[in-house]
Amino acid sequence: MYTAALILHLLAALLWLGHMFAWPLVVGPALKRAGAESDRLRAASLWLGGLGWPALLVLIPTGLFLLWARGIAPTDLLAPATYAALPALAVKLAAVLYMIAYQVIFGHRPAPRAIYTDIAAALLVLAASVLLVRGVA
Amino acid sequence: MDAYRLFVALHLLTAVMATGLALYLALMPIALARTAPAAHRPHLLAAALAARWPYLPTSRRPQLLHLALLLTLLLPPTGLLAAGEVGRNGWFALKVGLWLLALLAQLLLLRRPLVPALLLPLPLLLAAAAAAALWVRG
Repeated sequence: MYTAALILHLLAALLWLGHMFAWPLVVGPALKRAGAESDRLRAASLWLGGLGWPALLVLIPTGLFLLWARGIAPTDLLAPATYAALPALAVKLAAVLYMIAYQVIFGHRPAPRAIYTDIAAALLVLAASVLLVRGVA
Repeated sequence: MDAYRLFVALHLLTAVMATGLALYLALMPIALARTAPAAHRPHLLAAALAARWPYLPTSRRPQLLHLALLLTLLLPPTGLLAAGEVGRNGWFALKVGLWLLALLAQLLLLRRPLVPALLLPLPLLLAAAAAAALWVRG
């Protein structure tokens, strides 16, 4: 069960962050300069919409389950002592809350500047996840 | 964060970008099938794959297809750095096999942008990530 949740969590994160990083940093700028077909290609590339909400539907329950399996119950997330013991968890949850707020405010509407704050939050989540899973050196 | 954890983060970041570009390869033929007339699709698909990433000097701008391939090629070196002392087992062999298939599909795309080959890298890379999780957990 733990492994299944871990794989679901990993795949949902890869798809969401992959979409979040690749579109504004690579795909969008490339298609903007794709000549006569630029508008048509950009419209096609946005056909799927955003992956944020579907990914969060998987990431939140699996993330809570993975924490619970490691001895951190959802109620522990309300206790400051949890974050004193695991500062990486505090960073990760703060970044995740920011990304949820971004989803609520912008969804997958264009946000030429704010998207970079979302990407920065995602990078923090990645770094904090490594520290949580691999331990702090 | 020490070097080992930095390498793990770097490998994850490379996997995220490779997945994002594989998602683009898989998405475009599907999106064009729904949004463009059939007669225009091959031309539009070729333009989508040949679009160049603009943030390099003109002569060095890679096409998105080549960028996707480059990111797939970067997975093993970053993965080796991130592997640390995790022992090799069957899941590791599966992960490498799935990565090789994803690489093969992308090499085929260099010759001809066949739709099945465009759809394959995404599920193969995701399956490789799942195999990696199983490998690390033993």
